[in-house]
Amino acid sequence: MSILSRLFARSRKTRVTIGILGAPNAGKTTLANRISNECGNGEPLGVVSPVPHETRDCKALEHCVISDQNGSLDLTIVDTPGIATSIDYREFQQHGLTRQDSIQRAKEATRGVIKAIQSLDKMDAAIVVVDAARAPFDQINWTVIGNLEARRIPIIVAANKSDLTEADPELVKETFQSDIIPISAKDGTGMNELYGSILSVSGM
Amino acid sequence: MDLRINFVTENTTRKMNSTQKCDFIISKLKTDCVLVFEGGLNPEEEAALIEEAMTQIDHQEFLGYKILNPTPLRMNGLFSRKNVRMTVIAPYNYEHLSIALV
Repeated sequence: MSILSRLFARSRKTRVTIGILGAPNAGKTTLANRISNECGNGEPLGVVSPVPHETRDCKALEHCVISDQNGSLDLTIVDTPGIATSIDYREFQQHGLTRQDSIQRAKEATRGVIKAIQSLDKMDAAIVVVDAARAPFDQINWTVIGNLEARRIPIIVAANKSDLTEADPELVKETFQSDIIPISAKDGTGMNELYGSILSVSGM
Repeated sequence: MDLRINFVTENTTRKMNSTQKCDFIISKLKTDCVLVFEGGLNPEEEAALIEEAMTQIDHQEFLGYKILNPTPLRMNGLFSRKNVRMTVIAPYNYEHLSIALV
């Protein structure tokens, strides 16, 4: 158990709010939808799209219960918009949106990024989703992790898209010098390990 | 467009609070400056800068920025960011300008 896990374990919470954070298109909503589905909720939490900033508001799934031999945990899962330092409406045009729709989407995306940043104060723990199929040196990951650390919020780093041949979870591990969980939110690989880690950081 | 590089010493930023630092950075970015900060920004300042930048993106002239803290960071060990020695921030609008850790 990591130092952060032990710190969090002291509180022995049975209701925990977990934020899903990361850069755009890392697979946060795909992960949220998988957790939602595996918790028995019939509805997906959000729409998954190759267009960046599809998620532009924080969406919460309450009463997702996971358990092991030590007990149960009542989770609130919060899917957050991707955090970015720039929003370029022309990127949306490249995905077929009109200029007017692209600018409107960009405006909504800027508000979404602010909401994601502000959500950092409302979490008991966080899953930082990193796209393992891309070089993980994006400064956003460090900004998010640094802010979570400063708030003493336990962190789980999920190296997503491990089903892709170009994925390199070891590079993610090497970069963050920490235990990471290789997952594929798309096909479900690594989800049991992720749930185990959630229970662990929650003191179960 | 002419691109300028400004080296910002710790002496310049020492007396600035987070809001003043964000205002300073964004005003410089809007005049096509690349900023190299001695001492770097801490994660909270980076988050504040993101928030402020998002409120100022106008979808015409200012679209945000690119940022890099080149010092390798370690997740193990709280407050390890004290090892960071500089932060590079560039206007996003320079499409052919890339800042990267290689």
